[in-house]
This record gives sequence, C-alpha cells and structure tokens, in this order.
Amino acid sequence: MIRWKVFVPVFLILALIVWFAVYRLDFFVKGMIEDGISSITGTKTDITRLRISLFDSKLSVQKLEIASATEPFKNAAEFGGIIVDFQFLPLLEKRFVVDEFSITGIAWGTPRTSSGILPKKPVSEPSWFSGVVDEAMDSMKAEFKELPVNKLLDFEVPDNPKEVVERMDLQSLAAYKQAAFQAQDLRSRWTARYKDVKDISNYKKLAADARALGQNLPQDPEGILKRIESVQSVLKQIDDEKKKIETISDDVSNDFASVQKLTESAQAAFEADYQDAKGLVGFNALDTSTLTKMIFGQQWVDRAEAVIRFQNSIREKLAALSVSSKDESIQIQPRAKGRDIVFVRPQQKPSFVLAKSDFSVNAAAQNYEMKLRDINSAPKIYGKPTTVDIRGEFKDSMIGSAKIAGLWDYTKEIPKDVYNAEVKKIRASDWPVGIPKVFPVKISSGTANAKVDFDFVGPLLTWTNQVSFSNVTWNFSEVPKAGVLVPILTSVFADIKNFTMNFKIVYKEKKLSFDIVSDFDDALKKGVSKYLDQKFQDFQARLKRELDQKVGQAKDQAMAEIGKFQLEIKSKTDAALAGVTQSSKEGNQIVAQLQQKVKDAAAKKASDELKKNLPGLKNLPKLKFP
Amino acid sequence: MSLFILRTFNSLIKLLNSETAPSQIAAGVAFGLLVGLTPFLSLHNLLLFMIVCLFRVNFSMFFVSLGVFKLLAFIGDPLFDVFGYWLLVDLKALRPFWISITSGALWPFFRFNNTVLIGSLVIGLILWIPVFGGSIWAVKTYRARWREQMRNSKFVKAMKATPLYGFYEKYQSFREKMDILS
Repeated sequence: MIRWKVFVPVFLILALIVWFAVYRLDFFVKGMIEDGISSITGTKTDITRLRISLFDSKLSVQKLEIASATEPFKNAAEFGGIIVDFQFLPLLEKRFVVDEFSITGIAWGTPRTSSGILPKKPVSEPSWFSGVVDEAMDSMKAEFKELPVNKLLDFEVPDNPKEVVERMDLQSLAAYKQAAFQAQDLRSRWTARYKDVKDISNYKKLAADARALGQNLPQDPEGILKRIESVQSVLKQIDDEKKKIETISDDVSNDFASVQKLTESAQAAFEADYQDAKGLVGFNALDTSTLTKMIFGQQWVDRAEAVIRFQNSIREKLAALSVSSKDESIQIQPRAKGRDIVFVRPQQKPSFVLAKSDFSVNAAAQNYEMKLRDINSAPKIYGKPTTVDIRGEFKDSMIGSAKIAGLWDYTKEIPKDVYNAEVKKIRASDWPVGIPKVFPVKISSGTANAKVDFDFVGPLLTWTNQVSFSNVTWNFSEVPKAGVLVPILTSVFADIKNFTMNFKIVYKEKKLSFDIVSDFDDALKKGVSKYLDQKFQDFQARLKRELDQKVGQAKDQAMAEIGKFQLEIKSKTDAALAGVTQSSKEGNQIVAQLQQKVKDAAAKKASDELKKNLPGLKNLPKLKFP
Repeated sequence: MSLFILRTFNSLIKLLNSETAPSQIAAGVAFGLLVGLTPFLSLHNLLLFMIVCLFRVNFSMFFVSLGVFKLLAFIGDPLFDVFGYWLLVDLKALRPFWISITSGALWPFFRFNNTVLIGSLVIGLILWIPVFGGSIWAVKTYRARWREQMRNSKFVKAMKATPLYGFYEKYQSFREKMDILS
C-alpha cells in the first residue's frame, strides 16, 4: 500500500524545499520589503543586504535606499542600517511581534547609481470615499474659480460720475418722492377736513360775547346768576370747539411727524446712496477677504487636496485592516480569495505588533527624534491607538524646527486621525502666494511659524492652520503693471511685513469648506483705501454733486410740500388752537369774576335785610357766602 | 499543447485499459478533487501531496483530476465563500472547534479561517468518499463493458489515423529508445 521506495526521496525533497525556503528567506523578505515600500512611494527601493537570524530573532538591513520621485539619480532617503529585534515563538502562530526597531545613518538626497523611477502603475478604481472627496474638492475649486480675479485687472479710476449715478438704483430718490407725495396727500386731505373747523374770528366773537355779558351787571344776585348761566353757555361752545381743535391738532402733529420722519429717512437713504456710489468706484467693490483668499488660497487648496488625498489613502488602508461586522465576536478581513474570519476572543493578539520604536539622528545640520508606538495589524483587537511623535531641528534648511504628533485610533467603530504640528522658522520664500498672471507676487525673505491641528473623526474633518509671518519682504518682479489696482496693491504689499493667516478646512456632511481669516485683510484694506481715497477725493466730490443734482429735484419738492403742509395746515391749526384756548381762558375768567360778584351781591342783600328787620342789633358780623 | 493533450488522453486510455488497480485510479481522482477544489498554495495541499506520493495513488489520474477540478473551482469559489462563511460564522456550535484549529502554534499557517479554503475543503472532504467509490465503480464498469468497444471504436481508430498521432507514436518510440540507451 505504501510506496516505501518513494518515502525517502519525498522526505528528502521536502527537506530540501524547507531548507531552500529558510535559506532563501532573506531573499524573499528583502523582495517583499522592497516591493512594499515601492508600492507606497511609487519609486524604486533597494536593499543592499538583508539578513534574518532566526536563532537570534533578529532582522538586519544594511543600506536601504528609497529613490526620489522627482530626481531619477537621487534618493529621497537612505538608511544606513536597520535592526529589528522580533520574538521567535509568535512566528509559529503567524504573528510578527517586534521588540525593538532601530535605524541608524539616515541621510536625505544621496546620489544613486541607477535611475529610481518606476513605470507608472494603472490608476486603481477610486473608492466611495475618494468619490466623496473628489466631489467636495471640485466644489471647493469651483468656488475659487468664481473669485473675481479679473476685477483686479478691470478695476479703473472712473471719470464720469453721471455714469455711476445712472446705473444706481437710488433709494433716496424714491424716499424723497414718497415724502413729497405723502405731504401733498395729507395736505389735500387736511384741507378738506378743515372745512368743519370754524374761523378764528368766531372764537374771538364768542369771547367778546362773554365779555359783553360780564359788563353792566344787575345789582341783585338772581340777575347776576342769570348772566353767569349765559356766560357758561358761551363758554361751553368755546370748550366744545377747543376739544375739537385739540383732537385735530394732535392728528396734524402726528401726520407732520410722520412726514418729517420720511424726510429724515430720505436723508439717510441719500447718505447710503452716496456710500454705495463711493463703493462702486472704490475699493469696497473688492472684498479684502476675497482678495486674501485669491492671493493665499489657491496654492493652499492644491496642497490641501494632496494632504486630504494622502490622509484618505491612509484611512482606507487602516480601515481595511478590519471590516466591521454585525457580529462583534468576529472580524472580517477581505482577501484576494474569500475572507479571513478572525475570532475575537480574550487575550487575542494581532498578527503584527511593533510596540515601541525610538530612533534619533544627530548630525551637524539635522537632528531628528522619532517615537513610534503601538503599530499593529488589528487595532480593534490590540485596543490601543497608534501614535507617532517626531521632533526635528535643522540648520540651513527650509524649516528651523518641527514637532509633529500623530494619532491613528482605529480601535473603535468611529476611526480617528489626529495630527498636531508646530513648525518654526519656515523660510517664507518657500510659501506659495500670488495670483497667477494677474498678481504673481512672491515672498523673497522673512520667516513663518505654523501651527497645525488636523482632526478627522469619523466623517468630520477639521483642519486649521495658523501661520504667523514676520519680517516679510515681497518680490514683485513678475507682477505686471496693468490696471489701477495692481500697482496700488504692489505699493501696499511692500508695507506689510508682519501678519497672521488662519486657514480652515472643514469637511462635513459631504461638503468641504475653506476659509481664510487674517489680519492681512485689515492691513490690505487700510492701505488700499488710503491710496484710493487720495485718488478719488476729487471724483468723490463730483459724485456727491451729481447725486445731489439727481435727487435734488425730488428733495426740493418734498421739502416744499412739507413747508406747505406746515404753513397751511399746521400753522392754521396751531393758531386756531391758540385762539380757542385764549377764548376759553377769557370765558373762564369772566365766569369766575361773575361768581365773585354774585357772592358779594348776595351778602350785601342779606345784610341789608337783617338791618331792616332787626334795627336793635348792632355790630353784626359780616356775612360770608360759600 | 496538442501533443500534451494527446499524450494525456493516450495515457488516460492506456491507464484505464491497463491492469492498474481501480482503487489506485479512484484515489487519484479523489485526491485530485481535494487539491483541485481548494486554493493551490495552501499548506494542507503539501500534506495531501505527500500522501499522494507515499501511498499508491495513481499520479496520472491525480493530475488530470486536479486540472479538471481546478477549472471547476474557479466557478465554485463564490459558492465556497458563502458555504465557508456559514461554517465559520453562522454555525455557532462549531465556533470552539474553529478557534482551536486557527490558533496556537503552526495552525494559523493552514489558514482554515479563510472562507474559500474551508468551504472548498469541507465540500472536497464530503465529496471524497462518493467520488472515490464512484470512481472504483466507473473503472470497473468501463473495463467490464466498454474496454473492448473503446479499443475497436471508430473514434479511436480515426484518431490513430491522424498525422498527429503518427508523429506522437514516432516521438514515443524515440523516447523509449533513449530511455533504453540511458
């Protein structure tokens, strides 16, 4: 049954296969590492020598070169030696656990003997998230295309104020016309209503009647009382008229106030129209925040796109490490053929762990320090986020120092990528600015300090950059001297040395928004306004005259109507009110006098009666009537 | 390519017409099924190959069967994936078993936690005995009923009359001579 003759050769062949695999393991791993790095960088990766010692559980790499993507015969980075101390026993469980990882001899931009450019790979199908990012980036770029770049070139100092005023929709003109119409309307309405109001001579006549009743009084109290009743009757007529006129006067005052208010609004509208007219021809037409966006934004958006895409690819790769499943006791990892089911259980460990790696480089021009923590192949099982901490100091480089802290937390359902960076003494001349063709300004010297906060939690991305520039000098050599505004901007820029820019990108609900807030806006606005005000001083005076002329007719008409209203209605009402009030006052005085007189007459009559009926009584007290 | 097909076909006919034990031929078919259905570069296939080498399993039939079932496996992979998922995930009773054979030393290298691998392997194992038994019966039946008819059939005669077959016979006799000389 058993082929005994075959047993020994098969055993030998298998032993040979195993020996060859172990002997050639170095070669396989070397190829895997080279291919792995090349797939990320897109350039050639060369390892001079790689040795794996299973006995010592050590992997050592001698000279790892990663070719530059831009210069074929240069390396982007070269590592003199890499040593990986791993654990042997986990290998039997198909796990790669690294105890320590160290790199020595890091150098940048070293020469290569052969070209490091690889043929371009076909572009893979974009993922759903790439599509969303594309869409968002497109909408943000479209927003930039809408920025009024051409206004910079088209901007001109106007010559004809009439043209400016003609194309305006003047609010003040409408307001004055409305005021005139209302005043006219009220005047005609009041004129009709005034037919019911008696002439002032009527009140004077009533007052004269009252006065006449107060003259030639009879001696007896009854007679005087009858006169009082007559005077009170006249007074009642006066008071009735007074009430009527008071009501009319209140209404007229209210109407007059409303017309006056309209005139005041028209005056305010005139001022607003003037400011608008100035805005049409001045710098106000060009929003400074838009200008800052144009000068600093486009290049920033391009860089932001690269960063977001890079981050997106990192997220996709990390997220692919474990596909979430409804069943929490398993994790599904997609494979070329089928799916690997990982059973989540207590004390389970990921198949790859690099718990700690610290390395540093101390060279004359560059000092680096890098701390990597908890890199692993199954974040949810491992339970700890991966962190990286990089510090570097550089001499004669484009940056002076940098501190970067990164965190990738894929341990929970919602992935979290956080980066915080502080970069100091950035060479400002390397900072991309300017508007191509229109205003291609560059920074020629100065420094910048940048602070970056990048939070990407679930689908919400918030990325803020604060960049403080200092001692900046500008290079205008490529700026065309076209239009009016561009030379002014050139002069204003020359005075701006220190400023801070805040760039903010937010990705929320599949929409990407980009904003720049900067004190550069204020400096720019102040500077440009100063220049433009000088240029526009004469024109602005002419503009005001033109506006006066245009609105003047309506204004005069409104004022005339108000004057007429005041003269014909208000003054008349006021005079009638004054007349009737005076008549009422007089009538009341007459009544008071007559009442006193009736008291005196009654007292006298009573005293006479007593004396006559009681002649014996002497020194009678004087009678007083209430 | 044509020569290879012709040679394989000829070997197969010769094998069926020979006195080789039907169980050896059937084992070749059954093991070919097992290796052919499952992903080729898997560790369990190395063990299966050792078994094929050590035991009296017919190599020719094993490789023919492997080729045929490999073609079927391409079509069957989605089915194996679904079946494997059901075994690994939905069949909760087997969960401790799967955990035990996917963890610990060396076991993870067999990748039994892969849906396609476990799905195809289990289907292969289920089919192994029927295929083995069926193949024995088929070989015996062929030899008893159709061997002579096949030898005298028009198809075989027509095939032997083709120039390609003539070339193949010359090549075969040349090889035999070379074997004798060596």
